[in-house]
Amino acid sequence: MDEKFEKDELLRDLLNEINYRSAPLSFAERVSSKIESERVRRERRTETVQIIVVSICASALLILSFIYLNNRYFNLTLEDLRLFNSNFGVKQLLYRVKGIFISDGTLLWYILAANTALLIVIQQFVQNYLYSSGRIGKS
Amino acid sequence: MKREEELHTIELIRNGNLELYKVIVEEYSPRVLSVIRGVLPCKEDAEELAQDVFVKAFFSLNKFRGDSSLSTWLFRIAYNMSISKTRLKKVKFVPIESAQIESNNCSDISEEEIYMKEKRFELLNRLLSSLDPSERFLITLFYNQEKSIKEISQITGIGESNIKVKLHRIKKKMGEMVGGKMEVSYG
Repeated sequence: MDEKFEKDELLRDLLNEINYRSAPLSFAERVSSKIESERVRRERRTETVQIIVVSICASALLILSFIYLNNRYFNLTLEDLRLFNSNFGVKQLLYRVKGIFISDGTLLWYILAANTALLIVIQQFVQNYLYSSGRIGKS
Repeated sequence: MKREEELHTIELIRNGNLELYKVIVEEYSPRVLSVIRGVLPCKEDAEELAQDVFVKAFFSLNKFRGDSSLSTWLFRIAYNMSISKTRLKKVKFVPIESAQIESNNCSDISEEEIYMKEKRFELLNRLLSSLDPSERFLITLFYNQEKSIKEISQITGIGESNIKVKLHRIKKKMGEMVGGKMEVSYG
């Protein structure tokens, strides 16, 4: 069927007027420059997405750890938060906190704190390593 | 560029050789520009869009499976981007001026030839302005790039029979413009 299509010379001649015989001056260079800009833009976008994902995960982890700590040690309820507005509530709350820090479970708390500090240090090391190896771009 | 050589070059570009991509750009840019120019007659807009086509192609090279030729693949990107642009901005047709087009040996052209050229541009502008962007792309592919109906169908996603009908209509319209001198022999 394709061969049955005759190519009209007039149309071809007319459209030939808009034909480019060669690429415009420095066209390839402008394309390369745009590619570099686009590459940087995409890297920044990926980095932003990574930061957002990590922030969301860290926030979720923090909230979960708070919930766990509350359930395990503090047992604070909404009623306690309402009492927090009165002097009686604050006093009661401070007693409860004191009871936690100066009790049999104190050692566990110190271990938790040490682990958290260690994790922060490891995170800093990993981050510095990824920056220096070029796996994560600097913003 | 031969097909095997083309595929090998693409593989090297995928591995990060940007310099080789310049070769591809140099080779295909006149053809891509010509078809885009049919849709976007403004020279600056056409060149800007053609650059964007090559940028998009570069970042999509992993999706190029080699089922079709590289030119067909590039034309497909060019078609999608130029149609999107005309839809997004509702680009109005700007008449092409003969001075905008590259011309060889300008000094050798006689007054009569200049007059004829102007007339041809007038006719070309009338024809292009009477067509929608998709049809303009279609005729530049068919007449300028000598693409077959099958290839045009691959590029545009329009059915082969639909393309034939569109071409027939364009030719008919063209025939009317030049005073019925043009023979419409199929459809």
